[in-house]
Amino acid sequence: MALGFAVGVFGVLILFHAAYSTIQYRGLLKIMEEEFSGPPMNVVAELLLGLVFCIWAALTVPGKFLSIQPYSEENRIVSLPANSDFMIFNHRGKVFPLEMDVKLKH
Amino acid sequence: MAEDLVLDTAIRDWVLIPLSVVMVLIGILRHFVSKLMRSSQVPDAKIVKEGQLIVRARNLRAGANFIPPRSFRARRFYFSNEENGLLHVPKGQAPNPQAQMFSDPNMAMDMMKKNLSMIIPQTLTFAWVNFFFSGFVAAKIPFPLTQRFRSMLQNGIDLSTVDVSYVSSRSWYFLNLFGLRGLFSLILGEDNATDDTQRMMQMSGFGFDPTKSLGAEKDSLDIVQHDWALPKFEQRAEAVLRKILS
Amino acid sequence: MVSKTEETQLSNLETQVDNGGGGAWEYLCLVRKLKVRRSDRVLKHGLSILNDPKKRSSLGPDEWTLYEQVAVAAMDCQSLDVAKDCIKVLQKKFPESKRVGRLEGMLLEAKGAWAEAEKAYSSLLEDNPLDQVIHKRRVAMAKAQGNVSVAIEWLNKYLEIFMADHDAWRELAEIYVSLQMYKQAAFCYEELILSQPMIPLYHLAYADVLYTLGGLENLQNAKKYYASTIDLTGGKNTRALFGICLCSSAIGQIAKGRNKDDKESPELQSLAATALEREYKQKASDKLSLLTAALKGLKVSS
Repeated sequence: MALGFAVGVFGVLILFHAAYSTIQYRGLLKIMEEEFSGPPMNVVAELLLGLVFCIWAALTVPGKFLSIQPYSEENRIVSLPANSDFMIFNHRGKVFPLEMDVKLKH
Repeated sequence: MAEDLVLDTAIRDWVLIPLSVVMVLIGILRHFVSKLMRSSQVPDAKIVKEGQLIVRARNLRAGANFIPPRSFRARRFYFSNEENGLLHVPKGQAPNPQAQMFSDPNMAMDMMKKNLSMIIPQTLTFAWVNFFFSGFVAAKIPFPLTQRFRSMLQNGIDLSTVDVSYVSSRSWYFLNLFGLRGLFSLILGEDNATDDTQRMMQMSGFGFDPTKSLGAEKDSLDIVQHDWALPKFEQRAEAVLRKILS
Repeated sequence: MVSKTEETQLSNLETQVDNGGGGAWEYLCLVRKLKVRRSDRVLKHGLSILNDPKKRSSLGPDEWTLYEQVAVAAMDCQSLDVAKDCIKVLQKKFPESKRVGRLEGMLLEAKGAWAEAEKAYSSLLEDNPLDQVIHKRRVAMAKAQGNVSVAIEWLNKYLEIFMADHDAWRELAEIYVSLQMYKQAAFCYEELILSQPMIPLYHLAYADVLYTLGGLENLQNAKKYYASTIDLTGGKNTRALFGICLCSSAIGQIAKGRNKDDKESPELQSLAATALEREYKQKASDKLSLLTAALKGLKVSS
């Protein structure tokens, strides 16, 4: 988790650095009075690297992926809930009273 | 571009902030007052039934492929046959919402209460703002705007030379009135009484027309193509078993 | 719906709580969330919390939920005094509450005072004729008295209005099965599959009903639904595996007399049989011989 977060921060920093370099580059071009056609190669590479880092961090940091397969352990339904709205008390438990001593004290 | 105006910090402390706080508090008050005044509605059995019917028909549409063709056809006939299908609404029998409103005085009363709880505090606060805070330049928004926004942002200031990005106090009131909805849904929860859009919808549609949605559900049920999914499951089960056995 | 992980969690907590390891409140919350019926344990551990003033006050507003839970559990265990005390406390806190009124009705039911319970419920229904839970209580009451036909009648009336309530459909299906009215039960299970198509247990129950009904078409359909159960559970449902074997054998017997033109997949049954054998080998190797004998009897074992 900490590693993912660090990578994410690093990725964001790289993106910022790429932005900063682009601005610098444009300033340079303005001085040299050339047209801006696209950022230089190394900035593009930096951008891609930052993108990959950010995506990786975004996929690992927020949490684990949960299974959506119906037969995975988290989703496999093994029993239905007791239909408690239709619960009846007139059952054989009546014949076997509880052994323990229960009382609500106040 | 006009000269920058220097706004007194006292305006911020005594106009801008109090106005915003008052607007928030009034919104909360209105929420609770309307909650108090709302009469607890006993839902009508017919409306409940129609709602449940729509849910069930939708389930049938969604899960159609999981039941055998014969069962599906029987159900579809049950829902949408022309004689006594549940989703079939005979023509001319659809209740007119207007008539319903007059027949049920409680409904009209509810509307009135809602409107009153909306209008009275609004007029009062507007009068109050007008009386105490008229004519201030209360804030400046950080981006330029065109002249068309003057009437929206500088209500109460009749100067055409002031830059449009300055906001007068009365306009600040209006901005707060309409712009605080998001904040209210944060503070008071989603279904708060201050939600204007929802009320607008209720007013125009006057509840929803159940017969219409029944008809729509019937139409979409009629065009469902039944393609039984279960035969495919035998192959899938074989694949599953092969996988766990290997 | 109780998933496998939740079930393990529940049983872990159960052993922990039973051995005095604490975590009683978490256990009770889980029981409430999963809606399982563990009345004796809920009664015991719930009371141990309620009787301890320090623990009770630390719950905050959840205290009242616990009172309700314990009251119902006590009724289920026939500890009517405890239930009565709990309801009294709740009544003091929430006078005129309909929910407490419902609990009182249930207490009357548990006592067996049917007429009085009926009276209590009908007076509650007068205030709110669309109270779903009370309608359901009336059904349960008829069932508890043994008037199953009355219960079916009530339930059908209830479902005419609240037709999207799958709990009620399930109850109706189970009643029909208990009366051996399988066609009606099949209808109810179809309704359940429609409302929650991804729950394998409904497919399984529907397949069981179809198999019981018999007839070539029903058997083939039953086999398909057993297959879908296997697919949805990843082959971990033993009953579905047995179902496949039984269906195949029954279909084979019926089809023997006629010309064999159906393109049954012969593999599925042998696969199911092998899967069963493997499962038995892993979990109950001493019963493996029984299984092989049974499968041989069905002539599906390869």
